[in-house]
Amino acid sequence: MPPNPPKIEVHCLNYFYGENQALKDISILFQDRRVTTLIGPSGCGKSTLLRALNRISSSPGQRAEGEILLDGENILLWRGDLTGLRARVGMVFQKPTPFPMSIFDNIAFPIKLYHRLSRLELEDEVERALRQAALWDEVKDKLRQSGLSLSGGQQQRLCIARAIAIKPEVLLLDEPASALDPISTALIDELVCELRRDYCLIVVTHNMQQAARIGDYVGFMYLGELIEFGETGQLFSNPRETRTQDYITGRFG
Amino acid sequence: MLWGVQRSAVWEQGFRGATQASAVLVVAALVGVFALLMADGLPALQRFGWGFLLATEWNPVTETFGALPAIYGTLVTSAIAMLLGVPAAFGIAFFINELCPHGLRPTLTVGIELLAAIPSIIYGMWGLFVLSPFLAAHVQPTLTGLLGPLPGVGALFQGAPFGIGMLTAGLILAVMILPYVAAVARHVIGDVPPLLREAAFAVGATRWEVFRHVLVPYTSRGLLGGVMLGLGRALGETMAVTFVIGNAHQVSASLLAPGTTISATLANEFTEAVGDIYLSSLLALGLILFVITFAVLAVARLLLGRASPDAAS
Amino acid sequence: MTPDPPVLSRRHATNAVMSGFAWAGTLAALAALALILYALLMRGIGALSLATFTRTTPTPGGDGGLLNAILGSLAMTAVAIAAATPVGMLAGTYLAEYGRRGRLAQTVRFLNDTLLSVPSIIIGLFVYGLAVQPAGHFSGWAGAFALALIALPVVVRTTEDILNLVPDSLREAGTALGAPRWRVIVCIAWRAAADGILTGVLLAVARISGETAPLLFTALNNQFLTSGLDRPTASLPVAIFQFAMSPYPNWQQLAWAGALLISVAVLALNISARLVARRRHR
Repeated sequence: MPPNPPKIEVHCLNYFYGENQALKDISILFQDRRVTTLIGPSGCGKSTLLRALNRISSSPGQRAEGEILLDGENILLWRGDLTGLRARVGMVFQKPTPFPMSIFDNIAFPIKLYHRLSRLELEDEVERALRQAALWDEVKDKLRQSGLSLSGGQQQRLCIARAIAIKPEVLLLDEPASALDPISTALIDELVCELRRDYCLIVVTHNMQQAARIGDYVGFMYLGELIEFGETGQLFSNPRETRTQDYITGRFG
Repeated sequence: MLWGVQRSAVWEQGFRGATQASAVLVVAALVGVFALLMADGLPALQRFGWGFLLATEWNPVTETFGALPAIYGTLVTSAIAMLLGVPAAFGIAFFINELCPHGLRPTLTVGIELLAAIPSIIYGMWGLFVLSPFLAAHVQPTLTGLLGPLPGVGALFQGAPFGIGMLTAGLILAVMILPYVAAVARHVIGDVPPLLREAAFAVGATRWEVFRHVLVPYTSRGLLGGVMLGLGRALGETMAVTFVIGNAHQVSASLLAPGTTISATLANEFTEAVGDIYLSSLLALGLILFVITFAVLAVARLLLGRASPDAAS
Repeated sequence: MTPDPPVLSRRHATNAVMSGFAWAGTLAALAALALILYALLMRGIGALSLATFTRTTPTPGGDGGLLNAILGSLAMTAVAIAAATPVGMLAGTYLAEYGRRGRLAQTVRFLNDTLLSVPSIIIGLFVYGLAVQPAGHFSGWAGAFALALIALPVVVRTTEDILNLVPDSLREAGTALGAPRWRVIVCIAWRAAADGILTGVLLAVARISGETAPLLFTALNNQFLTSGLDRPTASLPVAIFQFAMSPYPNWQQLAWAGALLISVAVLALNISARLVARRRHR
């Protein structure tokens, strides 16, 4: 598989929650139009890394050192308004988070944040996002119903549709299927592979089968460090590090 | 295209500022209450000095004002209310949480909570037209007959059975604070880890013993907070008391005698008060009430933390 | 070691006595409720008539109704809630969304909880000194102001409590889409909390619609129907107070009618607040 140009480059990233160092000297490249998965036991820092990429948790007491380059620009140096960053780096969370509004409004909400569209244009955009998230056929007749009325798997696809409605360049998924049943998980996996054509996708998972199914690249993290990074097939079949091998063979974690 | 981004900073500042200003308004209101009562009550306090708190005469004609009868009445009625209301409220909490069948709980809870929803003026009317005549005819003569001759306690039950007076006011206050104290008690006892309760039953304790020796000590802080909350209510309650207290500026040992409270004095006399010193004396009474209730409520808050459910009443 | 029979029986006796006491306390409280409601219904229904709603304050001994008092109450309550709701929502939002554990927020929270239980007559004194004295006359506006101050802490507290129940994941999801903080709050958190906030507002209405003490020194009373709130304004609770304390039987009758009306209104508000609170997703 030929390497694509890097979308996000992380150089020597250290991340602290107060006194606690959650990430230690992480350097990793995320390629455009590829799926990179991050695996590792709970508390290894994979979610922290993901959340640093769109700075969702830059609250007081948390601090980052190093560089995170998005198309060559260090996002850690962005001051003040982060909305522009989030428009480019979308995120989907572990638990589905439909807003307490209609299915249509759930998708229209982010679109209206950035664009002033006519009603018709807005409807087109909503339909496009729902189609891309493979949800359109299931909800097209009930767009006015509450987003909370959908099943768990549908809610999660609604959240993905909401994230891609504003056409971000990067999509972060934080254990997107861990709260879902196997059938919904399979649908999400399919969807991720579809979205790979247009986005740089970064998926945190603790499910190794999922990582093997959907990832082009995989990074194994342990205790805040990136232990090993490589092409999925190579890492799973022939890990260089014993810790990686121990983890993927289920000896710990 | 990205029209939201440039404008959002302004909106963000504006919205945040508006919420903060509103929050500060709450502080300003309370500080304002204190400042205004202080300023307007000052003339009376200067004129009468500390003696204002201890003087018993309240005479608008000679412009001599003393707060003792009102303070005394406030404290006595509240004490009666606590004496009767608190055990009953704990009893209710014990009953609803520990004794009654599960299916009955919601109904009983709503019933008790409705007591808190009834406006105080309704309590006042009921006290004046229903309870007082009943007490005058059936209860007070018995009390004077049975307890009056006793040494010591007897002094509390002397005089003609008017129906109205401090005992009646205290009785009504007891019913009024019941739902508040019971709600807090139920709330804090309901939060006790089930394991603790089960462990106590496992060693063979009876329901009462579990309540008395495990649940109550475990939640004593919250229970005391609830009691203080009830006390704050009792001290400041106005309308219900005004109807039945008799509005007499006197300090009498007998609970059957008419008296007055700070709030009842204000309700009865404030709009008819003529003369600066009269008005100022009333405002000074208000200041005393405010300081007492604020202290009591502050203690209640410190004891309860954020556990009290009383916003819902 | 076998249990000592006398100890056991004494313990069970204590348990029985205390349980009996708890029974009695609960029954007494419910009996008080029943007696009050009974008196209200018996005396109130008989006193209600069409004239209660269509005529104004009677002359002593004459006939009349509560029209001016009812309208005055409705107007002052409406103005008070219209003022207290936005301010209370914003202040509650500050506590839950911005201030959180900060020093200002802690202070506001503490004082708001205290304000919640400050005797309402004190609020009446405050508004008298703030609005009535400077203006030189009692007015419905002053009455509405006093009621607003009583409703305010209720709205602040419920708004904060309800917003605290909105999961942070929902806010994060909004932030991750690039929504600015205020939009996350207004479009997502408020929306998720709407039912709860409505409950709080209904409870605040219930609370102030029965308030008498703060109106005595602010709105005072008025025998006549007035248009506008810039003059002394009658209210149902103050009218009840005046009528009940009067020596005229027909005024006392009206007081019972008014008492029944207020109680029905307050209980209805409480029940609807409960129904709204129970409603989950639309």
